[in-house]
This record gives sequence, C-alpha cells and structure tokens, in this order.
Amino acid sequence: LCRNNNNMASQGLDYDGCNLLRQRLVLSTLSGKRVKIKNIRSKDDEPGLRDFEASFIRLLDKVTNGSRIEINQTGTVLFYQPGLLYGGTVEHDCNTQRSIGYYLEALLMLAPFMKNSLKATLRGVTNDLVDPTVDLLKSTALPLMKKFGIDGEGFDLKVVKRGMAPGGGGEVVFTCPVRRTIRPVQLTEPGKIKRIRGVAYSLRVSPQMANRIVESARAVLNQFLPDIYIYTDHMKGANSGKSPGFGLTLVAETLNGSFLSAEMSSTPQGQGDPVLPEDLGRNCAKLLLEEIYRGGCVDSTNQSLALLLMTLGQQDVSKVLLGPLSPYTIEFLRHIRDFFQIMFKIEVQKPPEDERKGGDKVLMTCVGIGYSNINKSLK
Amino acid sequence: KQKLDEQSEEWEMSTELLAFADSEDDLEMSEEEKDKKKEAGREGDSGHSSVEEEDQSDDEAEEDVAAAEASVEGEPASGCGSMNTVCTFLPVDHPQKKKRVIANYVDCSRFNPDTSHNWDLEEMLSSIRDCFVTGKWEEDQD
Repeated sequence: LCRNNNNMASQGLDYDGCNLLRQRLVLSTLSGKRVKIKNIRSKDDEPGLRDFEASFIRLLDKVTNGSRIEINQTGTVLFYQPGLLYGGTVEHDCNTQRSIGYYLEALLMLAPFMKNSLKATLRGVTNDLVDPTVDLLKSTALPLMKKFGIDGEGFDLKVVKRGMAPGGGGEVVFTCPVRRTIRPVQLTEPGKIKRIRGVAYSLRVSPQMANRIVESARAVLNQFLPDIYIYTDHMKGANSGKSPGFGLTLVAETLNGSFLSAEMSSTPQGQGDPVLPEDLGRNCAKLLLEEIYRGGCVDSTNQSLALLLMTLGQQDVSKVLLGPLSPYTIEFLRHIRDFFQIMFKIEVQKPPEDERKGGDKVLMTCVGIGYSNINKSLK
Repeated sequence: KQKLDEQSEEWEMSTELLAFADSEDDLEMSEEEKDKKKEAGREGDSGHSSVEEEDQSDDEAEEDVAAAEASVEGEPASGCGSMNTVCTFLPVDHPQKKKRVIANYVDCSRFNPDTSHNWDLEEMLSSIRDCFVTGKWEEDQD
C-alpha cells in the first residue's frame, strides 16, 4: 500500500498491482530501496506474475549481485531487495510475450551505473506492436544518452537478427560503458527538423513489402521536407527470425540533435486483421507528424529516460523541453519522488500564435541529486 | 450482502489503493499485519468464518482508502506543484480517459496518441510547418 511512499525515513516502498513493474524495480535497484508489490492481478482468472515479468526479474538478477527476490506461491506478491549492479557479459532469452524493447528499456537506465561495462545479448522478439522496437531505441535513446555524457566506442546497440512477434528468434547486442557521474543538460531548444530517416523491414515476406511501405510514407512526409531516406532491411534465412511480418520506424532529426520518432509493425500472424503495407507506411508517417506536433527535445517514448538521467545528474540545474507528458511519464515522476525525493519544476510553454510549431510544450527543470556510481571499479 | 457489493465497487474504483491478501502467506503481510497476527494468536487460522474475514478486510480497505485520500488532499502545495495535481492543469494526454491509473494495466512506455488530429487536413499540416527547416525562420536564427 502507498502509506510508506512519502516517508523519507523508510527504506522500503510498497505498491499494488503489476503495472509499472519495471519502473519500480529499476528505481529500486538504483536507489537501493527495497520494494514490495502486492495484489499482482489478484482478481484475475490467472493471478500473479506473467512469464514475461518473471523473465524480466531473472534478467535483473543476472545484472546484479546479491539481489534478494521473493515471490509468493500464487505469484501475486513480489519482494525485491536490490543488490549491487554488477554488469559484465550477460545473455538472456527474453520471453516472447513482450519484445526485447521491454527488457532493453530497463537496461538502458541501469547500464551506465554498473560495476563493469555491460555487454548484454538479448534474444527474442525485436519488433512488435506493443513495445518500442530495438530500431527505435537504437536511433533515439542512444543519442539522448550521449547528451548526458554516456558515450564512447563501447556504446552500441547492434541488431544481429530480427524476429517478429509471436515467434521471435531475433538477437541484439547492447554494450554500454560505465560512468561515475552524469552530466547535467540544458535541452530547451529542439531546433528545426533537417532530415527524416527510417528503416522499413520485412521478414519472411516479399522484399517488395518494404518498398511499398517506403513509397507511401514518403508521399506524406515529402510535403514538408526533401531530405528523407528510408532504408529497406530485408533479412533472410537464419537472420529473419521465426515469424513473418513487416514494419517501419521513422526518426526526425533536428539541427540541435534532437530525435523524434514513430513506428508501426504489422499485426502478428494469426492475431487480428492483416495490414496493407501502404496503410502502414501512411499511418506511421502520420504518427510521426503527431509526434512532431507534440514536439520537445525528447520524444514521448524516451521522456522517462531523460527525466531519470536529469534526476541522477550532478548537483546542478538540468532543463529539458518535452511535449505533453505521457501517462507513463507521469507515473514515472511519482516514482522518482518516492525513490529519490526529487520534484520537478513543470512549466507549460504555449507556442506564439503566429508560429506554426505544434501544440503546448512542457519545460521540466530539476537539480540533480549528484548520484555517484559507487559500483564502478577504480582503474 | 449490500455492503459487500458496495465494497466490491469501491475495490474496482480504487484498485491502486487496495490492501487485500489472498492467502496467509508470510510474504503477503506487512510488518504491522504480522504483529497483529502474533497478538491475535492462532485466530488467523482456519477457525474463523469467511464473513469475519471479509469484515476485517473491509475495515482495512476503508482505512487504507481514507488514509491515501487524506495524503493526497493534505499534500503541501510546493513551488513545483504536487505531482497529483499535474493531470488537471498540464497538457497531458489521456487516451484511456481515466484519471486513476489501473493498477494492473499493461506496463508499456509506448505512447499511443490521441487520434482526434486528422493529418489529412491542410489545417493540421500547416500547424507544424515551422518545425521544419523548410518553414519560416525566426529573425535571430535566419
């Protein structure tokens, strides 16, 4: 229950329900505070943790050392006492109920604060409808983290094999160096969009599908910009996973190095109505326009990653301009307050009427807590 | 019976605040509950009827809901603004149109935006023209 949440003396936090499980476990690991999550689908016909959540917890166990994890018999209660973030080389078969993005998002948040640089090989579904795909995280989350001083040669996300839902069979390798401190940032001016890049992928279907996607997406986006290049990626044989499908990831890059993204995948084989590649391309392009309308220096998917790195930054002011906060981000802010006692200053910025720059923006300001990576080994 | 119905409605409305244990597993009890249990001796075993159990959890749930509501209302209005009031005055999108987040909702960071914008309309396309290098530039940036 929430009664302990605002108690600063308390070293542990109690929550209800399976929603936001990753946020809670990630922030618990970073803050060292234990969490207890009760009533996990306790009213469901199938109560308790799902396989993908158990798989996520196993991954967390692999990258930490000395974590204590207890789950009751029905799986409706989870107790997590975080250990030290150890890192190193990790291999994990991600449960295919969720895509690799689900697991990777948490690793992106944890990897810079480990004892040893992380080299994680994750296997499973690389692209699906639910979670951010590995392509999207590669082209938006990594450049964002670079702005906070997390960079270098060893910082990479490589898509070795693709695998669509439901079968999976994809593989990615994520490598990340460790940092002692995080640099504060001032990202208040997104700048104008100079180019749009994208990847249209097709697996175990005709390579023509990707070309059809590209054509329809370009038709929408060329109304704004000539500099558009969408790569077509048709993987074959063992590199194409176990299920057929296709999809598109689009990224708009601004003059100041901000990235706004949108993506769409075909519906998994045997689930729901099939999608035409032309419709997918067009709708994905419109999703990108919606994301540009929302605007800011960080796109909707990465809002919480930006806010976490601001929170953990050196004791200086960080400012980031965001589009309207997503419900997931709002919950993340609540969790940041619970685990780190940090509150953000939130100012709404309305664009001037004579400018055609989309909707209202939100300027987020905070002073970092000066988080120091005590796990990092001295060399 | 009526009370139970009311209670079940309340549960649905406040799943996030619910305190209800399905079994008597050690892990499912907070420290306080464990203490209570010790004081009550062996009463907690199969001896007592299910009605008593319901009553007990009724009371607990009511206390918890009241406590949680009090903590929301009584939160100090700091300069940063309380996070609980964020939803009411910030440009926040609620595709699911529900203020209270469902405790067992899908845990997903991907944001599916409001579909009220029709990107086939020239008016909408025009609303973002200046976000691109091909749009109008401010004088100081030109």
